[in-house]
Amino acid sequence: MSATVRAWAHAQEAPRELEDRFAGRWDAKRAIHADLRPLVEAVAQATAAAGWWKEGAEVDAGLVVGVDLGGWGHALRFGEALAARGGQNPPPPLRPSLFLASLPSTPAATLGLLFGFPRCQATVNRLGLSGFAGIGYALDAIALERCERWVVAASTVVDRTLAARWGAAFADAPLPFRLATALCLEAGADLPRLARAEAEPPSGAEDPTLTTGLLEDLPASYRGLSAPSLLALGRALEGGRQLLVHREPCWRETAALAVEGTG
Amino acid sequence: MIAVTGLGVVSAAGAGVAAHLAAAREDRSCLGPLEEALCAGLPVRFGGRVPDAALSPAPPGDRALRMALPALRECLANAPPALRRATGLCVGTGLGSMERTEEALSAPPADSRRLHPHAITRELAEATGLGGPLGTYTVTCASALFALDQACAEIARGRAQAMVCGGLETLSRTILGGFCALDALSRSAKPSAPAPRDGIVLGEGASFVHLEALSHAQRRGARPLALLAGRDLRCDGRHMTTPDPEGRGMALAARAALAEAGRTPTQVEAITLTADASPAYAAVYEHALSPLFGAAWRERASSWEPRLGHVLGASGALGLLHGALLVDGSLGPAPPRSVLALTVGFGGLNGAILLEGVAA
Repeated sequence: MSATVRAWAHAQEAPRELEDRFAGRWDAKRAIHADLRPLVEAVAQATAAAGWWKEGAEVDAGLVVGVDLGGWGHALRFGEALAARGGQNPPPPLRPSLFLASLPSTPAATLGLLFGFPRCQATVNRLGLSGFAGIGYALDAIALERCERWVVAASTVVDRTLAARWGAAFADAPLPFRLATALCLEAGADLPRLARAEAEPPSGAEDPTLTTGLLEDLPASYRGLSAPSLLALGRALEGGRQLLVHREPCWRETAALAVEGTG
Repeated sequence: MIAVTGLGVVSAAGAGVAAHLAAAREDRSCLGPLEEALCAGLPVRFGGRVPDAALSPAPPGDRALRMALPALRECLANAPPALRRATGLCVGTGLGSMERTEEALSAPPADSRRLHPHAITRELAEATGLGGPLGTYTVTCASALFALDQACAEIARGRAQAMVCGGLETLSRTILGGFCALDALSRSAKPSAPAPRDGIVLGEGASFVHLEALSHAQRRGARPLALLAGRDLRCDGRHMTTPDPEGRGMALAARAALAEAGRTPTQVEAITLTADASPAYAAVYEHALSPLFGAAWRERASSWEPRLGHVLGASGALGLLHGALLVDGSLGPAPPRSVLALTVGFGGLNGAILLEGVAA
């Protein structure tokens, strides 16, 4: 079972007036969290290009967001704030916004507020494999006819708090790093399309395309994470027929998609 | 049709289904005072803590794993090693092991990968010999519903002979502090009977169900405890934490689960609920269920949360397990033929699962 990719987009930042596009769904005086702005921008661009969304409207589709490390830096800061309460009388108030920012589900919940997504607001959390796992979740739901339209997004955020405690992985990387990628998938056989595939190609088949090979413009430390994996997928859609393989760097878990692009 | 063929649970009631059935029959509250180290400086004093005796002895110091392992092992008690190698695991959790994250505040972790929620899923699968597909979902209190989604898809698409799906959450200082910051907890100073309904009382636990195609269960001689007859999920998308007070998403989810099963509201003989001690979610249930089942719908409804606490990312799985035990007849001599297991999550994630007995 394959699905057609109607549109895709990626973003590392968002325009200053991002909030203005969501009148009636978001208080424009409240800034959307900096970590989430690229994600909102990527979803806005992809859904608008697919013809699924215009400002003020709701996207009638399922949403699945792949997250890798985002939120964890906020969880650490919330933990530090909690630890500091012990020595102060009266204790300083705890910020609910900091706790919400630490929840891995907050990116999907925020997209739900802004765009609707009444059918599903899932968050897949498989570290660098989350983007491809999100695609798999949507492809299954399409194949099983549970929901025929999906926005699959991935958000990668690495901040200094997180990087300082995550071993050597980000020691030489530029910080902070924010990238989001979004794809609009639906049932159909038009090009470009994609399907699940075995990570190991059958003998005699052409060598797979590794996502890292399509991401040489990104710092090496980030190429195995989830938003970069979907950026590679978007780029592969502009090529020909290929087996695209993504390997996340922590456990070396691997996933593959059969991509038939327009090139 | 997908059947439930195994169950496992650990919560404040202790380890194992038998301990939970005993607590239910005795209508015994398992809530109690929390350790000072957990709640110092926070306006919360009690909750549903898993007793030390219910935790697996190893690995030392790792509460999430020590809590989930006995539940997973119980769930897999009737799954032979060959089947386990073809069985996958999907876990829902709100935050994973916050204990590991809290330890990282004072010292850099030896293996930073273990801080990630997916690490728990991998470690559980490895400890129990599960060789099939893995999945980890972090969608607050509705997490286990998304794990169930993937589990059902893995079976339906032939990528696994069986799947275990479930949820886990440990009570941590971060979670208690977070819910205090959100002003979502009960302000009662101690457990009471009946349980307080002015806010959530948090608990912890792990709950798993073993799923396989009914035909697969019958071929291997496994007794189906319940069938997944219908399920649906709807999202309000109107607020970060509070649901639609009119309960429209929950009403849609319940109707869609019934429609998938080809059942009418009158055929639903029992309903299980999560989070209904929260006034906001109690209102959701009232608005959604009264039109469907009549004003007396609460006569059909029950919840384990007043006894165990709200177990966050594990709550959907605990509701599923509760429903399976109801239709299986483990909780009484005249089991309901259909149970609608309802779950709600932060911000209006509404899940409905219709469970039926095998002869329904």
